[in-house]
Amino acid sequence: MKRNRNLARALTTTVLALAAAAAYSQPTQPGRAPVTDPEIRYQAGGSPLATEEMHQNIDPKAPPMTKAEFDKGRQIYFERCAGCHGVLRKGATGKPLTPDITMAKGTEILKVFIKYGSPAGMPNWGTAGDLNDAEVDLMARYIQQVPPTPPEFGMAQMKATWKVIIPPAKRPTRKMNNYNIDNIFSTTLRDTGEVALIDGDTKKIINIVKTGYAVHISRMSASGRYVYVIGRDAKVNMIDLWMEKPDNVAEIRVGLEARSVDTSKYKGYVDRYAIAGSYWPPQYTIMKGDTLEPLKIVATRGMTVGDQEYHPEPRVAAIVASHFKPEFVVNVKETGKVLMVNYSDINNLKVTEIEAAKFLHDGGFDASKRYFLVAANQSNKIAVVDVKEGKLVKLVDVDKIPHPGRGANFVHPKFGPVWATGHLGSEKIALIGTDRKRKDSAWKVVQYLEGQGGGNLFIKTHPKSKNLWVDTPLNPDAKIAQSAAVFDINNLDKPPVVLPIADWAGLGEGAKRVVQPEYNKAGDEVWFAVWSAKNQQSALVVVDDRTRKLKAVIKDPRIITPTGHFNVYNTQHDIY
Amino acid sequence: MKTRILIAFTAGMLLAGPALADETLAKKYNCLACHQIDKKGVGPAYKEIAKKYKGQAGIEVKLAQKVKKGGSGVWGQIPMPPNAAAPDGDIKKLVEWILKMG
Repeated sequence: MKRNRNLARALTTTVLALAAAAAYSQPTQPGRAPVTDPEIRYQAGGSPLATEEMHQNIDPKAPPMTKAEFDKGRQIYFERCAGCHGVLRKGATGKPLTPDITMAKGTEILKVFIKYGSPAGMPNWGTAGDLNDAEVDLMARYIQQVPPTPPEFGMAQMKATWKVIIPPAKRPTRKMNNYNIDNIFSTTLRDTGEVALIDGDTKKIINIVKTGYAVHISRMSASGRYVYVIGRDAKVNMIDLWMEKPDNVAEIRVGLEARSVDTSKYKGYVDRYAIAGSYWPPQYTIMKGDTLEPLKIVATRGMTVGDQEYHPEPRVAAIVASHFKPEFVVNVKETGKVLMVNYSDINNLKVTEIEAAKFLHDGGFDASKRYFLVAANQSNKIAVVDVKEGKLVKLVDVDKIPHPGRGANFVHPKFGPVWATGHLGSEKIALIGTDRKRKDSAWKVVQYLEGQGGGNLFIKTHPKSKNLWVDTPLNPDAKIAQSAAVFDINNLDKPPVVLPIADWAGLGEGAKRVVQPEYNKAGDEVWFAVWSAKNQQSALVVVDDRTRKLKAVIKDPRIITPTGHFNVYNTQHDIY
Repeated sequence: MKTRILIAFTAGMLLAGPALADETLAKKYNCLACHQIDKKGVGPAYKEIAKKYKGQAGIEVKLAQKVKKGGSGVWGQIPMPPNAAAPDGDIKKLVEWILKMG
């Protein structure tokens, strides 16, 4: 009982929610394996919508609830359930839970599913100790109510949150500092809602910049001068690296929950536009590149690929910018469409809609930057899009729940250029041939490598390196989560070498998850985040790429919950 | 369109005889939310139940009670909720239908 109360208090911090997810690794039922622990950790992370006021319709046929019960149910729903079942409960990874379905089942059956889970993948929230019987009963009644709708977020709301901290006219006209800007790292400090800008040459912190919560990615402007970051709470911050002490120059919120941001990269449009994609409301927003002034909002609600049914909340996943055309490549998750959004005339917007596969998530370019490879994660496929021609090239079947991040490009000794992805749901690393002239290997999985285990998030190499680095931060085995595997690209049949990165950091107690290998500009260092909880010490570990030995540990009381980092030059030029 | 096909399908099942008709009962009372015919789901497979109990004296009455009042412990810790609202006649039909699968 006490544990449950404590857990309820901990609900507000996702890191603890993630830690609690470790409890599922003790299977209470034989045979419930189809959903792996890493997946649950990944999907069941909290949503910022938990604390939003929402409109609620009352259905007299649903079991009665007080306002307080409803609010508690809503909070638990958005912290535990929405990641899989959707904001409007239309279903995504999890089954749809609309009232027509849930009322037909009834409270008692729903309680069994919530408490004990199901072989189809529902976690056993009750027997795992995360929800007590009263909460299970509450949730069984809650999901029979009409799903409350979070508010929309249009131009008026965006304008109200938009701030130009330093107008373009008042910004420096030349670089005012001595930093080697190309080698700066932007490191997400997840729980404090900040990014740390770190000088890659001296390994010293340049500044800690206030941002949204749990910054998902950092992207650079085409010029490399500005850094754009987006938090899970849909707050976009724009940082000017030319300032004496680089800091925010503009900010805006583009919704209530979001994951992606990028900038116009085509020649003639350098630093002209920025774009951000939202989970809620389901839309993308094109902004002025130098001030973040919102210019155009486009909804992504619409029909799914294949069965062509209406989906009310197709979330915007990864966005990248084409180097071949004035286009953004916008990936819409639930409808399974890749949108080529042409920004040459945003008042007469042309969008090419490419049918891929449902549940598009993350991805990156091949080495030529002509092909964009994106994971349709719950479909276990990689969609290959030709951004020059604006066409789907191929859907490639891979293993369970690919999670490439941006993927990794290198030349395979036998099959030529390949792009690699790891998986959340398995230990495999898929190598996909990307040379369209090679009929034997183009757009096929030419080889699977065996990594340490599932729960991989990022995989990385560099044109100057012969190493392929693979993290496994969401693996339930602490030893695997706290280390990284490295393959020799010239000897891919050899098993990887496992390096105890977290041990090298020399920290005390903590989850110490090793996350996101990232190269410096020269391609001779690999940086890792060693991520522990908010009240514990974390660190960054820098490894010498050639010797694979420890080069530096960056520790600082301000480095709290680092989860990932982006090197300016490599991100600006899509080198991965 | 879909509904019409479903109605035709259901009608077809009713005409096909009692075995299929009781599958519609199983649907009606949400049994299939947890049970499948030949695969273990949240609850045990019907074929497994039939195999376990087939030929035991008085088993129909005992199982009908279990369906009505719910239970747990025989197949694992996951409880079966009670089905107090289902009429005895329907429960009897369902139990006979399940036992015939063994």
